[in-house]
Formats: sequence, C-alpha cells, structure tokens
Amino acid sequence: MKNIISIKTKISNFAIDVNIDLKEGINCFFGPSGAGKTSIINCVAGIKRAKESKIIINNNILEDTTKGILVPIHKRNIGYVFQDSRLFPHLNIKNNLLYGLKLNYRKNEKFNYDEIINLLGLDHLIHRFPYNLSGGEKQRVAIGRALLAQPDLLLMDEPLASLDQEKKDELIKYIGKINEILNIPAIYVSHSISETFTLGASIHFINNGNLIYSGNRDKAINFYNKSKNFLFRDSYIIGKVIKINSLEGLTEIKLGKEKLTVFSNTLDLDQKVIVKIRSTDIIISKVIPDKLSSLNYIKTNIVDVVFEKELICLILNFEKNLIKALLTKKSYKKLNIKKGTYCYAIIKALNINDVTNISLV
Amino acid sequence: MINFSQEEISAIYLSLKIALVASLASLPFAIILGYLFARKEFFLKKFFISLLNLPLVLPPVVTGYLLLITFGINGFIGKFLLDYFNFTFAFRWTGAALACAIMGFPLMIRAIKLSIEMIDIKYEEAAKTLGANRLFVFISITLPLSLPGIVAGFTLCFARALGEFGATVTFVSNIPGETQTLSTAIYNFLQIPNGELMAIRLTLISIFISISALILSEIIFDKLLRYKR
Repeated sequence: MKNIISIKTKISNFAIDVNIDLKEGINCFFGPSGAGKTSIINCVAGIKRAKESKIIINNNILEDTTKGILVPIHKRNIGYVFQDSRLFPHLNIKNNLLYGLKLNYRKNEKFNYDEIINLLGLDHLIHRFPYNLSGGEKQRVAIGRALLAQPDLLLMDEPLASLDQEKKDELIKYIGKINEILNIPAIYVSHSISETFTLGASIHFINNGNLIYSGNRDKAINFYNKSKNFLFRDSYIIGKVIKINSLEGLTEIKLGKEKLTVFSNTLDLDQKVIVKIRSTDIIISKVIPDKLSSLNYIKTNIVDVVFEKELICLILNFEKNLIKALLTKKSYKKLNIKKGTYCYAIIKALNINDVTNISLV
Repeated sequence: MINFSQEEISAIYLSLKIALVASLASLPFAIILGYLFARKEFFLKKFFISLLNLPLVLPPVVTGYLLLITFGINGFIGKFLLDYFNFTFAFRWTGAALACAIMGFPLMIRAIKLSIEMIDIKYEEAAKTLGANRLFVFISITLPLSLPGIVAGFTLCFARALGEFGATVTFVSNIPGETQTLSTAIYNFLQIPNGELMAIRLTLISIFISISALILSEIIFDKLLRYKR
C-alpha cells in the first residue's frame, strides 16, 4: 500500500517543503504551532491547494501537479476530524454520523455503524443535537462521523486542543480503542509531545515547513531525547509497571534493568507507560549519597555535553535510553565530569508526575 | 359572527392569493440570487444589487409606472407575451402579484443573503470531506442553515405584498374581483360617502391577517431553532 505526501508550496511567505511516507496505524505530525502541520493535512484533504504536490493515498493518486491531476475534496475519501469538530448544528447526532455513511454506502464497509457507536460510547447521545454536547463528546462524534464515511485515510487536527486535561485523557482512551480496529492509516497532528508519544506508532517531526525526522515511536523518542534542539528539553522513556504500592502511593516502573519509582496511583500492573522526565529535575552525583531522601538513583553514562548559553545540558545514557539533564556551569565545574564519565541521575519520585498509559495504542 | 359582503370576501381572498403567489414565486429566485450575492464575486455585482434594491427607494408609483410601460399591453415585454403566449399581466391579479413581488423582492433577498453570509463555510468544507458534492452541500447544509433567513425573507415579502398599494394601483388599477386587494378596497371606501364603516371593518381584518402571519412566522422560527436548545 502506497501512501505518499509530497508537497512544495508557499502560503503567504511561509514555505512548506515535505516528503512524507505514511506508515500503517497512527502517524503523528509533531511540531510547534505554526510549523505548517495543519496546512499539510489541508492540502491532503484538498481544502488547500499546493503549488507543487504529489499525494498518493491507498495507491490512488489524489494530486500530481506534474500530470495535472487534482481530485476534488468530495472524491478523495479522506476522513477529517477538525480541531473544532464542525458537527452540523441542524442535524442530531445520529444524522451527523449517518451523513457520510449514506453518501458512501456503495463502498465496502470498513467501519460498521453499530461497532463505531459502541467503541466511542455514543449510544446515549444519538438523539441529541451538537449544541448540548460537551467538547469531548463532540470530538467523539466527529471521529465517528469521519470513520463512517469509510475513508482511506483519517486526518485528526489537534482534536484534544480545546479540552481540559481530564477530557483529554478520556478522549485519548477512545482514540486508543479506535486504533484497535483501524485498518487504514491515520494522521494525528499535535503540538503536544506527550500526546504524540502516547498515540503515534510512527512519528514525523515537522518544523518551519520541513520534515525534520520520521521514524517509529522508539526511534523518534531516541531522536527527541538526544536532540540538541532547545525545543526538546524534556526526556521520555518507555517502561512497564511492575509493582504498585497503593498505601504509599508509589509505583515501580521497569526500564530495562533499571527501576524507577514514581508517585502515582492511577496506573495498573503490567501497563506499558511513557514517563516524562524534566531535565531540570535531575540531580547529578558521582556516588550514591547515603543520606538523601530521593528514591531514584540511575547509573548513567554521559554521552554528550552541550553548552547552552549559561547552562550545560548533559545527555545521559542508560540501557539504550537517553535522558537530558540541565546543570548550571558552576555545578558542572564542581563535579569535574566530561563525556564518557559514569554518574548517577537522581530524581525525586514526586517530580515524576507525567506518566501515561500507552498499552491501548 | 360578522357577515362579510361579496366585495369584502373577494378583497380578502385576492389579497391573500396575490401576496402568497408573489412571495412563493419570488422565493427560488431570491434563494439563488441571495446565494450568489453572499458567496460569489462577479462583474458589476454592486450594480445588480442596487438595481434589485431600487423598488425599496423609488416611489411605488414610479415602480408601477415602469411596470406598466414594460408589462402593459403595449409594453415591450407585455406585447411579446400577448403575441406569443396570449398572456398578459395588465389589469389582472397576476399583474398585482408581479407588482407585489417586485416590491417585496429586495426585502426577501436581503434577509436570505444575510443568513447565508452568517453560515460558517467550515461546515460546508466538512460536508465535502464526507463525500458531498457542491449541490448536495447546498441542499443538505447551506439551505437548512439559512432557513431562518428564508422564513424571515418570506414573511417580510408577504407582509410587504399585503400592504402594497402604489405600484399595484398604478399598474393594474383597482378592479373589484380582479385586482382589488384589502388596501385598495379600504382606499376605495374612503372615497365614497358613508364608506367609513366598511373601511374600518377592512382595516380590522387587515390587522388580524397581519398579526396572524407574524405569529405564524414566530412559531416557525421557534421550530427551526429548536436545535439550539
């Protein structure tokens, strides 16, 4: 199956030049706001026109400027979940869901109405109107509506952007459920790195209208963690929950041979999780201090030392994982460390509070 | 129970028929032109909009006179219709309906154009991504979302047609049973001695019809906007 997006265009002085090869499952487009992510997917959907483009989805050529091919929006077979959901206000939820389904009834069924309703938990909503749905419910309906049009590709443009954290987590779970039955590729646009690493099977970093890096999740996390780009300051590590002590509120996460103790009560045993470690939360020590409160001492190897103005960023390696630690120049000199030195990264369990379950995706 | 005279009944009936036909016949044109004016840019757009709004600012007598010299028996369109189709607007109720339609059209198109302009084009984009072509988007999204404006435009045109006097009387005169509406009948009774009582009766009927029409349109509005509650 060929899914290629090649776009070269200029939108009011902002140049976009990307060649993206989509993989199966959810492809996350990550980048800061204004990086051109939404413009790219608008070109794919046909809402925006690119100067030079070649877009092939599911082996169908949708655009090829060299051959003068330009398939109109309604014939592209691309489901689009907009940031603002765009449910039709005059139709109830059922008719919103059926809108695309009725127009595409001739195609072979990739997504079944009852199954989608069930997976997205829409059963109790179908007689209501979009006006009195919450933001999260609207986005669930929008996802269902897009899938029921039986698309060859699903586009999601920051569907969580307007939701609060609790609703975000809930919707991520629903997207995870959808992912299990997703037999088409999907593009998920986000400027949140934790969303990206949580949902993306493949991840494409986009900045200033260019593709910086493409790879599967593990490779992308590695790329992110060792990147010297100031934007990517925190580190992400994938691990597995091996022990829960709910009395003390502590959870142990296995990272290779190392263990990380975090303060969290929301995780379950055997869950695959992604842990965010802020570079400013790490204390570097050459020995394991014996009278220190911290619960985590990870033995690491310094693989790189990056000078950032008045700060030093150490890139530390342990068991194929990379994490970044930020130090002041004074601390760096005091410790007398350099590239290749072994040292301990000390992290308070309380400081690790961004742990996301990714077993669903 | 009030006993209506033959003349009164025919004036009421004609008024309603003329206003209804004028509004219904204008509706498709107003929707199409309203859509074009709201969404498309074309050469001389402002000129066409001004031209259609002309009856709003011209004295109604002038509009009636212009209709007479174009659609009258010797007018260039009127003569053509009579010669080839054996049809004429002159001194017929259809002529009164034409005059009312022309007078009410600017009000109708204004309401429809405004309501189409208010629709967020994003909904139409979303419909296209779901596989709807332009025509289907228009029928399933644009039209229903502009329905409140269409109803408002229809009501305004209908109300204008009920009250229309100057253009009608100039174009098709005031013939009982053919072109005499409530307003021309009231005027007529005021011209004859002891006609005041009749004029008052017809005035009350006019008020009753107008209020009923307005209440009906309010009810329809409520129904149309139910999805916002």
